[in-house]
Amino acid sequence: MNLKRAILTAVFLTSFLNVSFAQKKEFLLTGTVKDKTTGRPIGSASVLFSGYSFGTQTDTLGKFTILLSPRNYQMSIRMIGYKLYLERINITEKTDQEFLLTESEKLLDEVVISAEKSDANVNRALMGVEKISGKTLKKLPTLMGEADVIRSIMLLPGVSTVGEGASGFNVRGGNVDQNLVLLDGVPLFNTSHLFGFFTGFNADMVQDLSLFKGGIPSNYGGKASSVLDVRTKEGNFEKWQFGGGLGPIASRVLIEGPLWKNKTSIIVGARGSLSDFYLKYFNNPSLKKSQANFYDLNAKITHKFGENQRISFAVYTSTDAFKFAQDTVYNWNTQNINLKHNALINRRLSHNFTAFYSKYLYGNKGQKEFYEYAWQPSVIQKTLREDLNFDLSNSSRVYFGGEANYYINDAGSFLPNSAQSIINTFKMPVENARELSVYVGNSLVLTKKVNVDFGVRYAHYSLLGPGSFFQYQSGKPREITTITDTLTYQKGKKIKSYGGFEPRISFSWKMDSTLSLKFGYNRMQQFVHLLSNTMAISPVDIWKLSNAQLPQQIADQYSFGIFKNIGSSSISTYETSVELYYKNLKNVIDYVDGAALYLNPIVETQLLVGKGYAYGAEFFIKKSRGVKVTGWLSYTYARTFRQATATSEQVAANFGLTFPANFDTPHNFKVVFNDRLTNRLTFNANLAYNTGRPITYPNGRYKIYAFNDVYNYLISNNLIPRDGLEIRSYVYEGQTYKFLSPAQITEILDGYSAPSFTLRNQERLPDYFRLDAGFTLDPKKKSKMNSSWNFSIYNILGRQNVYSIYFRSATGLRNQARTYKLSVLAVAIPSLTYNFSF
Amino acid sequence: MKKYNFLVVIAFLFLACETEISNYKTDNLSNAIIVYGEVGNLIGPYSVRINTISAYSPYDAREFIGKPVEGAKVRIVDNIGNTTILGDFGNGLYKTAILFKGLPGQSYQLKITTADGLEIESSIEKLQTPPQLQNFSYKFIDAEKVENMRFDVKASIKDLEGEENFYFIKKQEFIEFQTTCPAPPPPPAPPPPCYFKCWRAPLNTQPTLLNDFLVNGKNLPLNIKSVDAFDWTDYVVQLDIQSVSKQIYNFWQRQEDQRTIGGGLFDKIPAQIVGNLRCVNKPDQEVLGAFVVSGTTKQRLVIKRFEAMGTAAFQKVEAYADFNNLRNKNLPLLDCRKAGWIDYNLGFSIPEF
Repeated sequence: MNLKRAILTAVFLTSFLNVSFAQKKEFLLTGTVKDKTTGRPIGSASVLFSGYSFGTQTDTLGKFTILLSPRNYQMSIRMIGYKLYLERINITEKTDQEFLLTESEKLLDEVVISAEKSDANVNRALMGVEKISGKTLKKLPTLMGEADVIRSIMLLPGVSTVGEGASGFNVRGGNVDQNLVLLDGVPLFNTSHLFGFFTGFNADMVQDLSLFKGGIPSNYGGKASSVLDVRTKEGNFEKWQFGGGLGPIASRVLIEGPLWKNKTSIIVGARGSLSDFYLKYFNNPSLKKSQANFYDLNAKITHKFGENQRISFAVYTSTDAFKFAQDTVYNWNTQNINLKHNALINRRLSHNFTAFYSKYLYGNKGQKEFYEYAWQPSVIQKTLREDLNFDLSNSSRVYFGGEANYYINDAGSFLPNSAQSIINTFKMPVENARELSVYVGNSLVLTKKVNVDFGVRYAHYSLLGPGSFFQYQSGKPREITTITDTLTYQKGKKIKSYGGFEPRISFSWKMDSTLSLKFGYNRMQQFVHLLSNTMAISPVDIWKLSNAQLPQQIADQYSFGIFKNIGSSSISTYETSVELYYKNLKNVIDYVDGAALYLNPIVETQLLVGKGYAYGAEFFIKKSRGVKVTGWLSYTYARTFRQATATSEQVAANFGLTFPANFDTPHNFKVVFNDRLTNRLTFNANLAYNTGRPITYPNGRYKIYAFNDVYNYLISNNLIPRDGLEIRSYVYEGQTYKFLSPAQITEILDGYSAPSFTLRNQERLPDYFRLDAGFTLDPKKKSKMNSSWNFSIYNILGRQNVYSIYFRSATGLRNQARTYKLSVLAVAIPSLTYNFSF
Repeated sequence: MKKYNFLVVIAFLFLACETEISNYKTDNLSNAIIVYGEVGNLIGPYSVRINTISAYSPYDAREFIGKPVEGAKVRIVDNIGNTTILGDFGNGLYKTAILFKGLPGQSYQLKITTADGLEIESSIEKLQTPPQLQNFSYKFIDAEKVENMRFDVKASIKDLEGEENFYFIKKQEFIEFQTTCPAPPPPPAPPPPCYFKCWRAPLNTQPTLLNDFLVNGKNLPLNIKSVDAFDWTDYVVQLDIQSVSKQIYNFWQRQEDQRTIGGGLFDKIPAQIVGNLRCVNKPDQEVLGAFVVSGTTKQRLVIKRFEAMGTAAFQKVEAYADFNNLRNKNLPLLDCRKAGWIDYNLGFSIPEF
């Protein structure tokens, strides 16, 4: 009896334990979400389970993983622009499945202004983040028919530029070189073509882009202000496709397809300008002799080792050349290659390995007879990087990794460029540096209402030999006359090191499903700097690594935001937000007056180390989804200031007083408007207004009397004043008669007239205002050859926005220093672009 | 249409638009004192001018030049301790004695005490070795049209090897001009004397700057504009080549940068151009300008246009001058010195060399 009871008990307990174990046991569901028509992976799609509060999102490869208890689930997958996907799924074991979403036909293309769900702004912990899809880029009105990544992000709050034709962009009071711009994880040192009129990114190749203005996760580092992460597409694994566009200035072509179906794909995008072709037709000899061209090429091969592992190899090259009827050709060139390996190691752990080589060449060549020269500085970056993601649970994801960067910054030796050139060789130093960083972060859902994303990054930088560096007399401002010693270092020897922790935290409190409050803090360090004492960044400004006189730039940003979505309809949702930020900058670079940066081996004598701060409030309302109308409206009030005080090692800038930065524009107002007129025809309009940027006005004018030998001769020989004759005239019966009339001959003391300047940036240019509009005619559905047209007018009002006001000294008889204003793109510029794909 | 399309699309080359702002002005908000003086190795006199700044007002004649600073005590002190006091000639002009000159290798400093007690000093500047001017010559280039005929002028500086050299070059032209004598009275009255050949010296305040960076020790060619062949009178080109310090060179380079700005990408952020002068007893008193100590080589090139051009060319030039009424035939003069419509009319002779 006892044995029987014991056996029954044992069976019962075993069953119970099995059930318990079975109840506690979870199975991994992995999936890939793809577009049913194209087979492309769909990133940022929401994967939800009806009746349960947990869910997940697909990554950029369209993949997701989630641990589930074994039961039946009503699963739904949502993505803007696609029909809702519903499936009942029974989890009894580890499951791997592909999910194919169908593009929505009735819902309009709502990926007009967002690459993510419309409630992502409320749900996610990070703030100061904007995402734009590749499709959105092509919808916005363009300049000369070219969809432009940089112009697109300049329509976002907190992003500005010094002016039209200026390279780069400023984010929340940061300098242009303080933006980490990544193309598939590889930093770019120059993001534009033709002085900023065109972007360096081929929009056909862009999958999506993310701009982190604040709330920068710890996996990003190296620049002080922001991160623009641009990801390119992978080639089509199913079928070959061709596309391109013909525009008035530039044209492009795109080829993609499977080298090995469902295994290996390739995508190649190329773009080139036609401007040189047009210049030959001008009668103006200066224009005839001018040169202005660019091209770029992106290529990527991706191979899949099963569903959980892939490797890709990508190449990017970009070239610009410019010459305006002079003897100097400016050129700049970027060459990047990168190798990536990503894999799902196990059910919780995934990894991404990246190795890249990036080279940025810039400079110019002189072609004047007997003075032929070449100056070609360059910056090379070599990087190995490993990123890992570990899912601790459905509500906690840990990410960690590290990277090793090696920099070679060649300041560019000046070399004679022909046998007859009388130019002597002038060697400039080459800097070598290593930057190592590790990071760890955690995305954590603390409760249903509270999300936090926190982490820390540690970066260590070392300037290495070989090289010779000057030592300066202590207690005196750095000058050539205060050099006390030249120190020479062997290869690999550490010359100077900097480093530090970069804490990052973003905290979100979701008050309800449509309202959240967020707080964020991040610290960023920067060891690679762009030297420029011109009004706007030019492509031949000089890059410099941190050294003994130039510590790392450090930015601490605090931000607070309120995010509210309005409207219960899933179609018509308004996303609104107010974000406040304060940014404190240390060790920002300024310059002595009239600094000579070009070919200066002791450039540190021209540099000042200062500080700055910026603050602002960004008001944003966006309608990201709509049958007809979508768009956004933003207003930003933002200030940014700099200060460089005198110390024992440097003189002051602007008398040591704080001054507005060159890109300080307090009021910014932007509107983006898209109206779907028909299924194929969309009207787009942009409006941009901002306060004029600061400039320095003169407070007087003076003459330099260096050329008055003749005047003095006339005075000392009593030749002036003297009696003489002048020509006078009268008109009689329609005819003019001249005669001589007595007059006194005298001369005025004349000289070289120059403006006198005072405090920096105390005045402002007139406000900037621009309206663009255009139409896009999308291709017919299901046609073999997809053709679309884009007609747009940039600056439709033809407003002559002032790019600069400047005061020219003057020579010559009775000439005075005068005032001029320059407007760039001072007329309405229409363009018509034809795009095709098949 | 084709041309319009080209015009539309090349925005950055020609849709940019520069216009002058004629109504910008500001009252004189500065109390800066402007000083400019020179000392060299050639016989003087050397002058120093002291003025105040004027308001930035485009066409207000009252603000054309600054007010002179008068009654100042101005002296030049050398490194041995010799002091040369400059005479006050009024209107802010102070001059050394005629025979005063500097010596290469010596250093000089300018010191000023204004009537209201401001003490202004320059940095101590060394008088550099005068540069060597070479190949200062001209060549006549004939052409079908007079407008295309010219005299190419060339010159070069032989740079000293092994050291940094900086050059500041002034060019002054002296051009002989002729007027038309009135018709003589009928006999028996003798024709009165008629002086129809005079000289003019157009003001040129445009410096040329050279340095030997990247061309150390080489012959540095000067970029001299060609002389026209519109007339057959004599033409004199005078070059003052001054070897100056790096600081003075940079002062003038920054002035030239300010003169050539175009409002575009490559313009430096504007800032006050401070020379080598400062107020010693009142540091916030701004002093602009420079005291230039230079080793100077002065040479003249006399271009005998009539002799150089040949008969055929001369006939064309003669016809050109007549057609363009260069002699003002309808306004005869007995004395060309009275031609008040000629700027910087020097009369019968040019300054001695």
